[in-house]
Amino acid sequence: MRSTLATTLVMQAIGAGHRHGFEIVDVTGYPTGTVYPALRRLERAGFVRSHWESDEAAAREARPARRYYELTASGEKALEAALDAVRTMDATRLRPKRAR
Amino acid sequence: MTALGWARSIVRFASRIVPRRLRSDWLREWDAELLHYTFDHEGERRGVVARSAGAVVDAAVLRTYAMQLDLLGNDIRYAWRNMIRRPAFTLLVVLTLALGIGVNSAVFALLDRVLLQPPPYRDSERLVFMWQTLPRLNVPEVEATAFDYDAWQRLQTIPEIAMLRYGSFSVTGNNDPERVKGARVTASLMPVLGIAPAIGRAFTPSEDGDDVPRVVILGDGLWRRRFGGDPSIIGRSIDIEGAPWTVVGVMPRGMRLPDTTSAESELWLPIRLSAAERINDQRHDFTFIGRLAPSVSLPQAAAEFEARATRLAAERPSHAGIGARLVPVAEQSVREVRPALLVAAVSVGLLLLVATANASTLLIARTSTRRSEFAVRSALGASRTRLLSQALVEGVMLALLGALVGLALGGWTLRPLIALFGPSLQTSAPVEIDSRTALFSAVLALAIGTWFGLIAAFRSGPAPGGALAGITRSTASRTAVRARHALVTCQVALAVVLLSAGGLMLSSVVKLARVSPGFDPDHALTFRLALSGGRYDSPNARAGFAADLVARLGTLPGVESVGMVSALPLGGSRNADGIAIEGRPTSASEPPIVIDQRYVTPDYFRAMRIPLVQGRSFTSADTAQTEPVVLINRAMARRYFSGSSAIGRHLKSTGPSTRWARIVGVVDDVRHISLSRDPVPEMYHPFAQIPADAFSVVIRTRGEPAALAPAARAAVIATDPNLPTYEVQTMSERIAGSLAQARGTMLVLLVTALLATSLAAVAIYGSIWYAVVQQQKEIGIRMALGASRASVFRGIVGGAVVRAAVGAAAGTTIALLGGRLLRTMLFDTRTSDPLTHLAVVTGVLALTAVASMAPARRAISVDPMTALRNE
Repeated sequence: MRSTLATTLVMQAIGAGHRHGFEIVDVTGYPTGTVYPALRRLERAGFVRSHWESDEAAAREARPARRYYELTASGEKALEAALDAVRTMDATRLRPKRAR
Repeated sequence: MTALGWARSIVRFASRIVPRRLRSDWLREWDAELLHYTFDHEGERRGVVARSAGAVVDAAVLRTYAMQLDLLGNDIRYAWRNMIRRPAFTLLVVLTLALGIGVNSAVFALLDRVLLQPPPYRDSERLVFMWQTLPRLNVPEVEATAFDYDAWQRLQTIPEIAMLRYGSFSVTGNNDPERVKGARVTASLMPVLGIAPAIGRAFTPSEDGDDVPRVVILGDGLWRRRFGGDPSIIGRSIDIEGAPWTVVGVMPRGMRLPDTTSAESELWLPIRLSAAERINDQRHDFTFIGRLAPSVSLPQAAAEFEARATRLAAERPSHAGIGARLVPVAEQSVREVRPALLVAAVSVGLLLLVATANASTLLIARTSTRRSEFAVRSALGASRTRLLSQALVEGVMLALLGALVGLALGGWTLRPLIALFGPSLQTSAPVEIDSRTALFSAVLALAIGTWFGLIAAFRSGPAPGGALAGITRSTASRTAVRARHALVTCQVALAVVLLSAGGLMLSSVVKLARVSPGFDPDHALTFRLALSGGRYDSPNARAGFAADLVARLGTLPGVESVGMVSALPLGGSRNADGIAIEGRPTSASEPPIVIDQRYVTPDYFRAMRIPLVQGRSFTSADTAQTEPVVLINRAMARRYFSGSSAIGRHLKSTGPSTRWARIVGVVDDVRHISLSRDPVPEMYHPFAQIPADAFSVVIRTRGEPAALAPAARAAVIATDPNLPTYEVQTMSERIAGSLAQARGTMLVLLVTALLATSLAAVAIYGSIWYAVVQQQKEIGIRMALGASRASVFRGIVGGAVVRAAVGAAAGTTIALLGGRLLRTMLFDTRTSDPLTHLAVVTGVLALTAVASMAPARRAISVDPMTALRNE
């Protein structure tokens, strides 16, 4: 799977403990139309898995159960690799172009 | 409607495009999120609606994924229907591929277990065999002496070394004597190898001496077979070689000593050397294994080891002219069988290429007939990618089916393949088709399937309009015919490579089988005996037993003569000792004379039919009380007594007898090591003068030798019920065993070559038939314009033969260039043997002519007008 800024940020948000869809939307600042497709791609690639919150836990707080996302082991590696790529990106290549 | 109501409506609407199986969960997730959001952000009406808009995108993404899966499912169903609709084509392709993949999976399973998986020791790549060498005699590996164990200590690059002596031992007691394989080892062996008993303890350094209680470690198999796997065996005493030994441990299952052919070493005994034996620098019968120090390379270690040998050679007369050599343990174990397995791998690889090319020609023919189908699909809007994906799915499914059938075929082929290579295979685990082999076959199938898919996709023709109208048919057919011809030429080339290799191996094996071993192997039964226990401690007792047994066996009906020898030819054991020749000056710079020693009873030469060349043979009058005498073989007489008679000269062995012995005769040479190796110098001593404690019995029979085995066994039991007879074989079986590897390689090559040739012949036939059908109109026109039937016939057959000749030339060139791989395995046969190559090329061209005749006959039997009208 090709990693994009959106998928990297979504993985980072999940890795940081933000576990459900709208929470990830809030943290990343991306719209739902970007975050959810990114979640689907990550889930299909095996980097993220989801599970339902138990009904009892939700009932205690008098709210419907939410779907939670978490990183898989390969997701953690992929996140690490994506962040490394950003960190090691050659700074000179990011210099603004000179006007001719 | 509230903002939440609007948002939910949008989500409900979007849910219609979410695949049904995901829909309820998807709705539940979005509902829950929207409710929470509304609850947490009261007053932000627009926010909830904006967020719900993302549900439409989300739903669309899920639908796309599902469609991709559906497409794949459709492709698989479509491919399956296509395969079922043309069962003959499917069956032909699947069986052709199964043949190629099957034999490859079998050879891979063998290769994987024997060559690719490391020996079962810790960091086995750091373990080395430490050999001595005799460079002047061109002997690359000699076992070292017990003295060297101390002399080689404190090497910086090989800090840990161990010494062992392979052997077989009689386990007695319970009236069920048994001979098992194992070794006497120093306590350092297990730490060096990085192994330990599964139960009990390893040996301690003090147990290397002969003045401590006898202890033994059992192999797992022996422990289970003989002692029922009883864990309380530790501390119990068992009888080995007639003496009590206390069991202190049991090795893990499948644990074997390095460089042994048995699946497991069954008995591990301490080396138990006396102080005098420990400093013996004459008897070269100990194997050494060392572990390289961390981060030391093999060349570094070899340099230090060789330097130590040079120093010892300068300091000690016993070590003069002796060099040193390290061989990695992993390499030593497989080097004999490696060339044969590599040849097998290359030959089945080539067969797979032939099979793939063969299936490709079928596919090309089939694709040509499906051009209009592809054109219709393309005209209806299927993109090039869709067509490619469908073709790939079809190709991969065909290949995977082939691989599945091939795996079954591989499992079936594996048993005869293992039997072919015989005892030279060293594996601690059984060779079988396992998950690694299955994965290997799957990878092959994917590669072949992809190739098939590409052929189908790119041969499906240009613009759909043209294909639909049929206007490009003849051009496309001509390209297809050319492509098939090219593939057939490649198949011929590959078949020629295999046939040439098979032919060379056949010629080599035939020559090897015709080599005279120096004795008559027919009507000779052999078995081994080892005298164990206190009653055979004295030489007289051993000599007495031998005389008794020979007499008893001699009275059996059908027995012509009976002999005994310490080491049989082709038996894998040499027993070399240093000797001195009277009157031959020794110098410090000369390497010691090391000669193979045999101890034989008087009738041994008669039983083996080894001719006496000069002097006299041994008689019953040569006893321990008379003058020591020896016989030498022709090779020894030639090397050390050329120009003068050896008879009457005196020799002194540094082995068990240190007295001068007179040479009384010269016997003919025997190929002792292998049929392909020239005879080496040998010395024979009378058994009565130096009675060995382990020896082979040879019985020359008048009838079928194997039939005598039960009576011979009974005679041994009658002489001593505690002695196990083992390695019972006829001499002809021994010869067959020594030829096993060469014969195995030859059979693998010949079988793959014949299969490849059959496939190529079918392809030649098929491709010409196809060409004739495609060019019927052209042939019709030519015949209508006056071409004779004979010229058309000649043109078709001649064209096929010319293409086959091109393939044969390419194949012969490849065979000549790749001959290096075979060279070490050939006996008295050059890789450029003109007769073999000529026979192969002539045979292939003749086969091509025969295979192309039937289609050519069909071509000329068609009435030109009918052909033209059909078009």
